[in-house]
Amino acid sequence: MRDESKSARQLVEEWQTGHNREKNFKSLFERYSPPLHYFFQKHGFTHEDCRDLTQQTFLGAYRGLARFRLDSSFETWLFKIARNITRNTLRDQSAGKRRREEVSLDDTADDGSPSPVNWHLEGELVVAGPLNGILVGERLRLVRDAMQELPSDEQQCVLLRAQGLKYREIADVLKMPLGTVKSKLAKAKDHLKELLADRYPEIEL
Amino acid sequence: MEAPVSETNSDATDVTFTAAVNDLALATRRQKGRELSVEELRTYLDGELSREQEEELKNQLVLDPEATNTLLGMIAFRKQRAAGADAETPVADWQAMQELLAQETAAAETSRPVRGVALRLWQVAAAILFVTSASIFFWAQHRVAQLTEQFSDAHRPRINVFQNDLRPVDLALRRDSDHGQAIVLDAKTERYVVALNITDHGEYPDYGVEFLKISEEGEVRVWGARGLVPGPLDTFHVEFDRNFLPTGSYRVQLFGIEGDRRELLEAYHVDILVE
Repeated sequence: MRDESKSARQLVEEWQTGHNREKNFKSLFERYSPPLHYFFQKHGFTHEDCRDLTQQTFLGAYRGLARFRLDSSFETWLFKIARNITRNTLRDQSAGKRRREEVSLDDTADDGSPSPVNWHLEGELVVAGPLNGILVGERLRLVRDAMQELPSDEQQCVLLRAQGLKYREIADVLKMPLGTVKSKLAKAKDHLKELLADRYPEIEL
Repeated sequence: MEAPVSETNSDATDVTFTAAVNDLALATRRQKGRELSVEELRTYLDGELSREQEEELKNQLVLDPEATNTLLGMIAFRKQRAAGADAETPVADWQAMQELLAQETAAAETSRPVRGVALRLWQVAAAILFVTSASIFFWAQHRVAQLTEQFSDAHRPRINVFQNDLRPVDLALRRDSDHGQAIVLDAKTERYVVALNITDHGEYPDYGVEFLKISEEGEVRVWGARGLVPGPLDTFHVEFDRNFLPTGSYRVQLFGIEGDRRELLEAYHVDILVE
């Protein structure tokens, strides 16, 4: 039986005073493990890994719960733990990856016009091999120039769509109606097709 | 654990438009450096930002898949609560969680002294500890004398410094039930760095670390320090000369310190070996 009536704050406070510890922790677990699982899933982890990482997050929370100060929300704190676990896991996984070379894009032309997303290509870009680096630099300049032609909200929709978000998720993230997201992506697609016809005759968004 | 989908596309010859956009976002994010905190994402979700601040946050957010995923997780939770019911958590998940918590509690119990149960045993242990500590003290003095001779070289830059990421003890144990994580020092390694990973270090004015050598007689503190500061990835780092810690098993403890209060934040188990 779940305790829906209590806030996370109440559950944590009761846990901290030693009252019904298992029951209260179970309530927190049941309440927060599905969104955490979803969070890890969005990072591309497998179902089994998501379960494992969700448990690790709660184990971290269990260890820190006694000293958790309620001046921030439990939700914020829990996602902070999940984020650190994600970083550590990804860092472990990438430790053995092949060494990469760097290419500078210092020669990137900039017409000085303000860009809503404020693109930067002046820094380091990690790519494999110098020739590949030049090709990547060329490609990115092309895409950046095209993206800068779009209005800010269309750029935002395209960037989120490129991350693999569904229309519904983009609408949630940008606080937009679903229909608006669809229409902005359609407009952006038409515009980008015009600008990038030579390089990308097919643009899937 | 399988690697998740890579966020970088390094092949220039055959990439889709979306992959190119992601590369562009990655390059831009790297340049900017700053990342959005979970608290900032919460203020955005709760509508506590001005229109301009919201727009600025969105422009950062769309470049950062990690922040986007965090936000989506938070949104999923809010939707679930707004619908008036929690999503179904499989019973097996809670059972697995319970097992982990039971292991955690058992580990905490074994490291806690049991008052009044075996006072004599405790006294014997204290005596052993005293003798061992005294031995360590004399050994440490000897080592200090040795190290003093080497101090003239101490300020030279060191190349090939070997870094070791330590995971908290439960993760290490799950991968290898009997041993800690191994740090294997080859003949070329003069110094090495130990990175202490922690899920949440909380907010303390100061942090400390302690290395306890595990032997049949028990655990003996061989070195400790305070003044640790978390790095940009919320990890703590200690650099060692290869001769400072003798080979063997160690328990490493990370503390949060506030005034006279010292709170154990994380424990690690590491085996130092020489190749």
